Amino acid sequence: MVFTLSFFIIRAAPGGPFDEARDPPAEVKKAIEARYNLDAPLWSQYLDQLQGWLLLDPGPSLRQPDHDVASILGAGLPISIVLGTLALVLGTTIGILLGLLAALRSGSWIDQLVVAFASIGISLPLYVIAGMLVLAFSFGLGWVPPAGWETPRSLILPVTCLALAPAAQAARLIRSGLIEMKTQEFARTARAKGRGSFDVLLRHCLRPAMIPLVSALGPTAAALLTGSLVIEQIFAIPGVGMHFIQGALNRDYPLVLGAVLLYTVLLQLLTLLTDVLLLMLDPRLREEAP
Amino acid sequence: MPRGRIIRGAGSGEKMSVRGLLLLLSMAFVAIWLGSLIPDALPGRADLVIGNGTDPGSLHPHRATGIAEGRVILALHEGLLLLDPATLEPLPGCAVSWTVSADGTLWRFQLQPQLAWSDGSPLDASDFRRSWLDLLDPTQGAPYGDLLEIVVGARQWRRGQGSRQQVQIRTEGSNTLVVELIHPAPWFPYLCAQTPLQPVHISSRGTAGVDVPTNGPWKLQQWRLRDRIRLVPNSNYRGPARPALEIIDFLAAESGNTMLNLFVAGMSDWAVRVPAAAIPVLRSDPDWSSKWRADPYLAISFYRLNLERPPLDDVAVRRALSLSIDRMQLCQDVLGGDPEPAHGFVPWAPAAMERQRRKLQKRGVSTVLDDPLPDYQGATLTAQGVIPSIEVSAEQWPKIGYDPQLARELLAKSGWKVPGMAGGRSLPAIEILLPSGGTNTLVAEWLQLCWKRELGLDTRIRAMEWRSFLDAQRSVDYDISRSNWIADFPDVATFLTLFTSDAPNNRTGWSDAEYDRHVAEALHHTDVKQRQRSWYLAEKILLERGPILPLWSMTSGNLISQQITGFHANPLDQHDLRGLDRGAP
Repeated sequence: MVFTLSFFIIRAAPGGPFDEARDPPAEVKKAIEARYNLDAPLWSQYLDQLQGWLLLDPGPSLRQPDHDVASILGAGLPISIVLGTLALVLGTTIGILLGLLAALRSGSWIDQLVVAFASIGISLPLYVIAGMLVLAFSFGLGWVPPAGWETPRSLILPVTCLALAPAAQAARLIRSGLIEMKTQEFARTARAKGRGSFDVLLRHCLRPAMIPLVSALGPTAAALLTGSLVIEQIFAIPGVGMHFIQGALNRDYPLVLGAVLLYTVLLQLLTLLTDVLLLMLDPRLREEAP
Repeated sequence: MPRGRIIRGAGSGEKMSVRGLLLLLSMAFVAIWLGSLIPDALPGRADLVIGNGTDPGSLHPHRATGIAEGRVILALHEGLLLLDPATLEPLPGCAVSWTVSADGTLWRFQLQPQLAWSDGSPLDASDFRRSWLDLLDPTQGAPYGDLLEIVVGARQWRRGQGSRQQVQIRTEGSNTLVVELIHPAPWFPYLCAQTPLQPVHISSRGTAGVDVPTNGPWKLQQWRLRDRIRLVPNSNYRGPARPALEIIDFLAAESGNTMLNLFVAGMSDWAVRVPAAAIPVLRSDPDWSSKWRADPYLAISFYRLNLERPPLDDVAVRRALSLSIDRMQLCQDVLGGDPEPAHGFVPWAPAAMERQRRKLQKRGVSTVLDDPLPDYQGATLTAQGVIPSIEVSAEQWPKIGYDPQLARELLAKSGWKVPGMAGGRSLPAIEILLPSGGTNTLVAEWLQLCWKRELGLDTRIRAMEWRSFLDAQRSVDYDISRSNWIADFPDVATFLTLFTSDAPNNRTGWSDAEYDRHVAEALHHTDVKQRQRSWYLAEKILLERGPILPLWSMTSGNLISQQITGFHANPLDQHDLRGLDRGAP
């Protein structure tokens, strides 16, 4: 379904992969199109592409003919996975800690600070954050390179930028979840039995408060693992995020389909994983399950 | 009850510890796996690191279309000839000598004996013949194959009326290549040094990579997609001189900001593009102005006009649009001050070059700037009509084609309503088609204000992403359309053949038999003066009644470390890496 929709949407866009500022003669252009089967009827091209993907052999990229689509995505995916996983783990951990802190001191200046951080983290565009971090830590303090993919230090700025949004999201969800949970009967009972506020939050409230966060983690993780166009462009990171946009702008049909399929598969897998995690976290779901 | 809780708690604790162990193990596994995904840093810093812009589409000479690709390909390959980095004079490459017949059509290249590919296998004239025929082969669809359509039999073959055998590229023995042209082409030696005419190994089969042998001073060691291309010396290189630099890295960076950051941080030695917003600082800040090179580039920025649509079908409207633009102001306000106004279609008239020399002197840059097309007198559209460019001084140049009052008078005379004059019919609104991004929109908005103020003309801007824009331009689905044209070789022909009736890149639908005749005559003249006269007449027609609005002569934009020596200004912005060296830090 996703494949079919993507195929016909990208083919509906005007222009083609071999359009350049200067045109070859019409006969030569026809020959180029024939070379990549683009002169065949659309349904035939669709079936060819479908067959190629089913056999995991989508063929060469139209704009980077020295490489096939699988190797292009294969080269970028590990990089996006490293960046995305680190950002997800870092962001979620920091977000949970901040949420805990805010809920523990709800109404205090700490709480307000966390709420402000969450609002900024969600609303500030990545290119603004990235620009400020480069200015401060690369050109101000000289601690990390401003771009490139050379050493583990190259990871620091892009991971920090990418982690900000999940951290803000986690802080917001955990804070509101914990504030709601700590007024529940079970929390009051625990406190009445002499448990400290932090202990109650950590041992009794955190688990149910995690449920909305875990539900949101699936799509967040899928987006992070498939790269970010903005971050890849600013920090010259060779991940897969750029292919979603560049592939479409270049009318590199097989590459666009590959990128979309990759995202779809990851999204499905991560949604499945999220559902499993939710089952582990929420006993009510297990009881409801047939 | 309390005991039960303790027991359950203990059981759950045991379960948790097994679960915790599993969790720890899986986290360790994920950490190790993630660590293994981080690519190893390449050993050592390269002698030259180039922020090369977009990752090359292809490194195959027949498939490449961009300047970034060309930069890598010309380091990996060596053509029949090389170009002097400062003067662009053809120099021996694989060919040690060459001759041309008196009528300028028969070229004979004598190749150096014992040439070799990077894998050690021999390379001779037959490799050049095969490569050039493959470039022309219509079934292979090389986008720049038309460069060789001046060879006898080539055009017919590409149009389906001839065969490979009929193309007059021949070998005599293993070391002589003979090429017969349909008309004299003084630029043919320059073509022999360009990307598409580099020899291609028989094993390449339309692709390039680490495993495909090349014949240049460097060979490809690694191509990390959208990250870095590393070249190392080719031990089998038999060229005229061994280059000074050994290891070269080409960094892929889409954004001009990123390239600038990499340069500022010392991670690259040469940025081939910077953001437009940084140019005024690069020009004026003494720390940067010596590293910023904005040299005359044989390229013209212009608007295409659709003469089929009113009011652009009226020559008076076209003249008025041109006369009302203060191009000097445009160059200063929007373009950072490096480019010069263009009043003809062939860029960099002598007066513009002189102004560029003065600008560089003022900045304290000591660069020799020769006229890129010294034999051509050029045509300039002034308020009074077209005159030879050599008659215009550097002082007159900025405002030579600017006369808004005359523009209004021309419109009024043609029956159009203009500000400050009574009567006439209103000018219909005009749409400007442009590709989104860069300075395109800024320029269009500047012109929009200018035409509204001077002529009372309403314009709309239609910005489209690149390939949709190309599609619309090719279909002539526009009133006015943003355009650039970059020279393939330093000859007037590269510009003035663009608008002949059968030119594939005309994209205006304009056709003029007299223009076509002058172009054909210019191409066939062997006498330089007659040839230049025909070019002048062709350009005059193009400016008087053609479908173009010249805007500015373009400049290159290179930010280069002062440690790199041997970098010279040249009108093709083509910098042979063989001539570069690294000086003392």
